[in-house]
Amino acid sequence: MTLKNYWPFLSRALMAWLATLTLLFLGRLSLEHLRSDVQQQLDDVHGKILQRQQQVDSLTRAHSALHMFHQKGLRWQQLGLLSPASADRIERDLVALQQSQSLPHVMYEIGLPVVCAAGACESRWPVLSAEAIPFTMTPLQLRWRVAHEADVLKWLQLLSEYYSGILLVRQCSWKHQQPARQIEVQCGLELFNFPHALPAHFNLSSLQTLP
Amino acid sequence: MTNSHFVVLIDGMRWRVVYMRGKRFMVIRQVDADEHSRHALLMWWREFPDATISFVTDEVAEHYHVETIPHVQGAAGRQLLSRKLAAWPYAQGLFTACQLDRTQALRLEDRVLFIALTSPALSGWLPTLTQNAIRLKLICTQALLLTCWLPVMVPMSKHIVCLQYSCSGLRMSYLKDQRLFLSQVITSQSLAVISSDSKCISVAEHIGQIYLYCKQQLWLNSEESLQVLWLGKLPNDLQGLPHHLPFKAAWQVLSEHRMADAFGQPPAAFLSATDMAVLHAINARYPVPNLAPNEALFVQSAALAKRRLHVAGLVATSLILLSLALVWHGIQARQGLLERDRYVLAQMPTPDLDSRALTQLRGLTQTIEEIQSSVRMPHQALHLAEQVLQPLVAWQLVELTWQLSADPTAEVEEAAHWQETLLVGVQATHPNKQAEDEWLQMLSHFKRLPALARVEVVTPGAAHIERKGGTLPVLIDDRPMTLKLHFAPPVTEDKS
Repeated sequence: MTLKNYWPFLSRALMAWLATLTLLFLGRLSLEHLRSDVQQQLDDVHGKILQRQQQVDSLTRAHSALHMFHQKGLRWQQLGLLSPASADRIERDLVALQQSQSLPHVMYEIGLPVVCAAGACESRWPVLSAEAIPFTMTPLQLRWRVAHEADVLKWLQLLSEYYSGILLVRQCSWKHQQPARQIEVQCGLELFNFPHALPAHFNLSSLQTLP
Repeated sequence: MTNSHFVVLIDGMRWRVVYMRGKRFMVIRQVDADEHSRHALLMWWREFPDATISFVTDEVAEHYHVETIPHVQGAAGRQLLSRKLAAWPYAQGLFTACQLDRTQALRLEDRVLFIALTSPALSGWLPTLTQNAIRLKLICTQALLLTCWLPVMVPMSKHIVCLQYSCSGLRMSYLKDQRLFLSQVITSQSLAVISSDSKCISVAEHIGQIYLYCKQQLWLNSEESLQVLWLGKLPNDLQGLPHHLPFKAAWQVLSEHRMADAFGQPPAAFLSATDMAVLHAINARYPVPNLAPNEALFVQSAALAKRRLHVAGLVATSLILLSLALVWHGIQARQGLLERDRYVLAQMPTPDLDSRALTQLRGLTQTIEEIQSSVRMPHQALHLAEQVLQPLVAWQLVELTWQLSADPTAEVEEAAHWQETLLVGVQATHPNKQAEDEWLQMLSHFKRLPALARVEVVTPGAAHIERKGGTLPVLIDDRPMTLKLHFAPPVTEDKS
């Protein structure tokens, strides 16, 4: 007995099974394709989660600096330290400070702001920073006529606190005028502004979403 | 799928048909072997297309022959066997061969049993069965089936002769090592006309001839004993047979009662206990030689092939369906993970700061902090000057100049090298001895202060002179004197 003898008996069943198995195999292939597609989507989302997690981790590592920046940044913004230097603003601040604290009157000279690009003002720069932050430096000359040397110290202290310490006292001189028994005081200060230090399209309120 | 099975017990011209479903007897019929009865039988069988048919014969026309052939393996061996079988005159119609054992004399030889059934009625009917798609499964003899069921009943010795009465006559079968070597029938006619003693003697002579034949064929030797076993009820006229045996043999009777206990009571009067044993062997599907030609078995083998094809198809389908289920389950699981991860991604904070902006912010913060930490006020300098100058009466303060400037001696421009200095301009009110003492006291006082790194007296107009003085005592006049106080750099905390 050869296969030829069996063929008439088995052909229909064989063809039916072949058709069934082929259909099932095609179904299996399409499901496999679907599975790989879903797996690809899953890998993509995993990649995005990983990337987002790395961003969050990076922000977490910089959390202390950003937290400090968030706390003080608004104050700096209000004081105009993150804006271009403005003589009007300084003048207004001095008057307001004198009147609110009943301080001795002061004469002032506000110099033109010096724009210091990265590394251009090293000699005027009090710190050695790893990052070259562009800034403007505004010279400020203050003159008082006081009865005691320490009368000026309150001015300087309040100014420093007012500008959050971003104010450098370069020089102060006290000259005693003997006949009048008064002291001529002159101080040279420098105010720093960082008008272009914030990243483009940066919004301080976005820091509130930090972990 | 039903397990329907027809067993046809052929004993001379008497056909007994047993229809079984599994081990359950459904119908038992006794029919004649004429053409009309066979046609009726065929019509009956056609009602059961899934049923298989087995024929078990106990005929005079059964032929058994042991052939010894050299042992040859493979296709050559099969060809040799075919040639030997073709040379056997009974190898026509229904016949087959089966290997009995292998002997080692001068050469390795196979002992093969040739079996043939000369039954024109049956062999001529087989094509009709095939044409009607009747599934013939087996054509076998009762003598061949002895090896299947007899060991269940009695302890078998090495050599045994089984005696059994049937319609055809007295069948004598010789079994060696539970294999059938020889079977022959003493017809009823040859035993009918003689007396009881003569019948015993005649049967005993036949047994003796079998014994001598076996010895001649070297199937047994003189030292070996022969067991004679009577199957069924021993007829009255053969009760004296054990005493007429020509040699010392172990005589034993296997009663119908014992066989009925083992294989069940016959459900019909025309079925004997031996028939029940045969049916048991058929149902138990012992491997026995099949005398049916391949053409006659084709329907059954085709049905078996189709069944195997369906089983294979079902298994393959089940496996693929299982894999489909697993893949589908995997897809569902992944989609669940995907939805969860998408939700996690949506819930994660989306910082709009990239690394560059972060670096910029960090730099700005660091810069501002450094400026804040480097801011110095003249408070300390003024306080120190006041502390030293206040007790003095011979000197009055003229001018104070506090300055924060870069240290010209420093190679690197950094916060630590910015120097805080205080120029103290004083003038003696009365240049006298007290002024001189107070001057020295003032200098000493300043030099003792730990906040000061250096104290120097500045002489006007001596910018290019590093130091100017004399060994004479200090000359005090009414000109202003200037002291330059160099403050020590602030102690920075080691952050490490």
